[in-house]
Amino acid sequence: MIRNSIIFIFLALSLVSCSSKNMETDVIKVFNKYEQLNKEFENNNSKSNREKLEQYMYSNYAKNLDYARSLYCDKEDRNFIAKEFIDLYIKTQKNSANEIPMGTLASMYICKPDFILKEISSLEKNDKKYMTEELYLGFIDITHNKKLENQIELDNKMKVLEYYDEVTSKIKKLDL
Amino acid sequence: MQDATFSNSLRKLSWKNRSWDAVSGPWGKGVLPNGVYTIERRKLTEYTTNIGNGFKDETGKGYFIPLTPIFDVGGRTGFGIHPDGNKPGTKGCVGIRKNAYSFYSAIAVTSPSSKILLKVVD
Repeated sequence: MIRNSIIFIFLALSLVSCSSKNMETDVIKVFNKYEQLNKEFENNNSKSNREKLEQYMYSNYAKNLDYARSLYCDKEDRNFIAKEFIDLYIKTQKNSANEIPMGTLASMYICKPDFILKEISSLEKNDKKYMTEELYLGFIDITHNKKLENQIELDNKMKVLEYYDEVTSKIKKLDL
Repeated sequence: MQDATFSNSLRKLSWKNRSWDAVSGPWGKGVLPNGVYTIERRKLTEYTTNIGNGFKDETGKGYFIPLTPIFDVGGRTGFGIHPDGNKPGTKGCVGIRKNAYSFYSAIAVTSPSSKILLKVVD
């Protein structure tokens, strides 16, 4: 009886681990596909390439960002998901009006801020400035109507970023 | 089908003798560039809670309808019209500030094959 229970628990844990591994693979596949579509559009901004990119952007890619956030936030050893996401963000987001990735970045920061800060701090100057702006905007966007218990602490933590002051004063000037 | 107009300076979206307070920019690369866009009627989403918070109105529901430029917008992508949820402003989409559902209703009653253009002006 005890032996059967142990086998059952082992199998259940293996299934959970497999399904999480599959999820990771799927998330990275969608990232790669989105990057590829973005590259194709950059090389040839035809109507058909735009259509393929935008269709994917607001369907598969948008849904995938939820999974990416869950994987990163729910497991201690999934930091590489956030690393991949930041890398993709820099490559694909600069010309995009899509606000969903900005919310994902801020959500990742809210659940595990230190890793996001470390990654942004390690970027080269222009990317660091860009990602600081995106993170700050995303953070004030998603906390606009939903105050967090540790909001002040999270806001203060962000001040370690080299371009925090420059970025926040720019955003305050533009504020509607 | 009558064209819609969005004025960046007046911050008004107008269509069929009605108008809505709306904004584009100032975040990211800023306002939607002046020119003509196709409102992708066929790709209008449902009015739903199952959409990003930035696309929701005060009722907690929202929608998204893509805009395709019919001129060169310098490689910018991802434009659309949606309620302006969360912090005011967009990264180039037209964000409707008030009565966003009435715009949705007006669009949703048209035939999915309708050709509706949006003229963006200063």
